[in-house]
Formats: sequence, structure tokens, C-alpha cells
Amino acid sequence: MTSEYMLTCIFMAALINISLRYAPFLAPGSFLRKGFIQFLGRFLPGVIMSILVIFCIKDTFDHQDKMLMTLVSGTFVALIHIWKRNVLLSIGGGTALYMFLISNI
Amino acid sequence: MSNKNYTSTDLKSFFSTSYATILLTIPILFAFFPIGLAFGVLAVDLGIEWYFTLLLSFIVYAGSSEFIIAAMLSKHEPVYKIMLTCFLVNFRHIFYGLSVFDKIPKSGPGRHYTIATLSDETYALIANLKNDQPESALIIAALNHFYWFGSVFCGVWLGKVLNIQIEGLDFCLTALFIVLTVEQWKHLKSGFPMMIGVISALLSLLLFPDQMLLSAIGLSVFFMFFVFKKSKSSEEKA
Repeated sequence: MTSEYMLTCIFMAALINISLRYAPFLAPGSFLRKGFIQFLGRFLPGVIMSILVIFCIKDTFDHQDKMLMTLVSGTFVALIHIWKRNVLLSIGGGTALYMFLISNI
Repeated sequence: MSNKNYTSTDLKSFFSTSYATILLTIPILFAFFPIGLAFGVLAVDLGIEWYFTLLLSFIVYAGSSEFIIAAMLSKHEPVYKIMLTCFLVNFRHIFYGLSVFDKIPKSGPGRHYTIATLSDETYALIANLKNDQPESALIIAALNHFYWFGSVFCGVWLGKVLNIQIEGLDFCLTALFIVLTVEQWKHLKSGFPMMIGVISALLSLLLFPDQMLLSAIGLSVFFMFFVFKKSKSSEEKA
């Protein structure tokens, strides 16, 4: 991994993020007020988070046992979070469970 | 910064507002610290140099995508793919300015800094502010940025010092997204975005496995359009 490659990727990623965050301040108000855009603004984060969950676990779909442990740990995270709404507990507990499962089973 | 001459009561209320603002950000500190720590350790584990990890966390500053970018960097993915993934995963940031443009500083470096560091968490906190406290928005943005960078800094240091491979630590990223999904579900009081997301993701895995993220988001926007049309027509009938 050359420095040029790393620096290019990092700076381009930063540029993209900053451009995305600036975009609404440069966009015409008429576009931003469009119903569908507002609708997306409201619901798209939820959609994307769900897609990202699947994206994270897609590599386990070929390994039965790893997939099972991922699903168990993932369900645990969801349930604990619905119950306690504590980010630290949910992420820490779920990761600890996963780490325990894969090293002991 | 403004040129107001602060009276002692102004200063008092400024400091009490700032104190309240700082308190608001404490949960973010607790959320960021384990994830940032894990990210620092993980990035070093993946072979990314500590200075690149720190640079990434300072200027890219978008937690979830940083994990994905770090993983792609360690696999030498082509630059265009990393850029595309970053664009897609962080595309939702484009909507944040919509809701907070009247809550951030009106001009100056503070305004630009706040816009540039609009992460999910910063957006969430600022969106809940009232409109007369732009300094609070800046404090929130700066503190969250500092919490994230500081946590990754600790993680990188820890990773170098420990120099061990921790099996399974990368699950914390999956856990983070699950937590964020649950939060969105509670916030929206609706599960249909999650269903659309999961269905789009699974379809994309089948149809376009190489460009899963791009096609999943594209498919989901396509589905969302139909849901939008349907909700409009049932509104008009009512």
C-alpha cells in the first residue's frame, strides 16, 4: 500500500463527505422542498442502516456456523437494545457474545 | 465570532447553556469511545499505518464508513470503488443540512466547520436544539469530532502496544449498525424502511453481488418511490 494510494483514498473520501454535507446549502430550495426528497430525507437513513447490516454480514453466508453465531449475536444486540436502549451495553455485550461464541464453539 | 459585549448575566447564561450542551454530548462520548477504540485497534490490525488511521478519522470523520474504508484499503480495493462506497454509505448526510440550516452559526469559520463535520450523531443533537443557540451547535460539532478522533487515537495506541489479533472484534461494526437501525425504527415508528432495506440488500446480493451497496441503495430508492406514490394517493383519497 503506497502512501500515494492511501492519501488519495483518504482525501477523496473526505472531499466526498464534505461535499455531501455542503450540498443542501448549495441546492435550490425548490428541489429540496419536493415531496419525494423530503420523504427520502425522513426515511432513507433507516433504509440505509438496514442495508449496512446485511452488507456487514454478507460474507458469513457461505459459512453455516459463522452465520449462525452472527445471527445469534445480532439478534441479541437488537433485543438488548430494544429493552435497554443503551448503546454501550448493546454493542459491547453483542461483540463480547460473538467473540465468546467463535472462540469456544 | 460575534462582537457582542457580554454583560455578566449574558456570560452566566452562556456558560450555563454551554454546560447543558456539553452534558448533551456525553452519551455520544460513551457511544464513540468503544467504537473509536475498536476502530483504532482494528485498523492497525488490518495493517493500516497509525498516521493514516488518524488522518482518516480526522478528515473523513464518518464512523461507519471508516470501518468499511479501512477494510477496503487493507484489500487494496481500487480508488474509484472506495470513493463510490463512501459516496453511497454517506449519501444520507446530504439530507442533514435540510433540517439544521437555521440552527448553525450564520457565518464565519464556525459555520463551515459545523457543516463539514455533520456526522449522524452531530446532526441528531443539533436537530434538537432551539434556533437561538448557534454556539451550541458549534460546541456539539467540535466535541463529537474530538471524542471520535480521541477514541481512535487511544485505539491506535492500544493496538500498537498490545500488538495482538483480537478475533471477532470487527463484529462491533455489525452491532453498531443494528443499534442504529433499532434507533431509526423507534424514531420513525415504522418498520417499512427496514423491510425495504433488507429486501433490497438481499436482492442485490443475488443480482449484483459485485456492486451490492450501490444496487441495494438504488433498488431501495426505487421501492421508496412507489411507497411515496401510494402514501400520496391514499392521502388524497382521505
